[in-house]
Amino acid sequence: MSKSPSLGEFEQLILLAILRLGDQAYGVSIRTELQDCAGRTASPGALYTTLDRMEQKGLLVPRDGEPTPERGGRAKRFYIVSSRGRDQLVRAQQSFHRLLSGLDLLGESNG
Amino acid sequence: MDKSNIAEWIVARVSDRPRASAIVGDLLEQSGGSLAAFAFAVSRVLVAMTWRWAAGGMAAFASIFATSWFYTHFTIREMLIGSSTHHHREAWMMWATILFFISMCVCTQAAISVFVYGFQDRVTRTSTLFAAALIASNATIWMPHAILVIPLTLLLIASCFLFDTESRRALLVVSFTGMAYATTLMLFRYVAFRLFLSGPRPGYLHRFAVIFLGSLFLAIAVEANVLASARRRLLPAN
Repeated sequence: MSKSPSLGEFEQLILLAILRLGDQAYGVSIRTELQDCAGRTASPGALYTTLDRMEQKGLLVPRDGEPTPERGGRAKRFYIVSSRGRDQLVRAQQSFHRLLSGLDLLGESNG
Repeated sequence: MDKSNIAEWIVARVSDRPRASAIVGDLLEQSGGSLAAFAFAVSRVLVAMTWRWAAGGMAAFASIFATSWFYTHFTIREMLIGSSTHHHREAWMMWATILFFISMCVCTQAAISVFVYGFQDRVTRTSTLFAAALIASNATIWMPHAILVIPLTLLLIASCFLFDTESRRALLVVSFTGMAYATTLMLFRYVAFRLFLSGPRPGYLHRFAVIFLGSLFLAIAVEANVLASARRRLLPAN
């Protein structure tokens, strides 16, 4: 069995943003979600090259929407997280949880 | 022609048409009608999509000189000593030239792959391993029995890649890409030398230098294209 490469931090943020957005995840909404939830201003270059790479790795599945006038008659490209993407995200988050447990960094015991 | 159509055409040069259309649509939606904001966003996307290829191309060019350095300092020196002692060409000298050419094909590929896909990538690792093995072979081919030991060692390394599918495919990507580089270089030089260097005319050296460097640039560009498409087809999930 081949070993899956681990996800980078930005890739995890994108996967989480897409999961939060459901079937409305496309370039603009993902960027806004990252800004609102993670306080991260993703540059368009970084966002599109990462989406491209994740699509090639089979972590995301693209779907073209309908063309709209405010986009000059261009269709949106919506993304959903593939089962492979979900598995890798879960694995990455589990490692974080294991490493965080017992550290009290989030202040659970004070809260 | 509308600004967004121009932008879409430019982005489609470094991506595919549907993706370029979606990216330009997103940038239009976010720019709020400002031409400057739109142009700035498009240029940032273009830089992000191409800088690795540009850096990889420059590294590939540098790797040719690195390979030549090893060839000159180890192999050519031994060739000169051998020729002055025995007054004839030995068998290893021909193999040294062939190995030098093959190592150049694989080294340029490894340089591009490092920049574009990173060290963790399977194609990068495969091409880097073969580049190192070929350079070492080239530098030691003049040694006693090396002409027998080196092909066997290279075959042994290659056979290690036949055990699992992904490794076999990575080896195929490296082979296709190397062949594309070699074919382009030889064809272009053959045609250009025949057309532009037949007969002693003024500016011979200048034309030779232009063809020599031009062929390297062209071969690297073709190699990068073949690497991208072979890797996409054979190792889609890496």
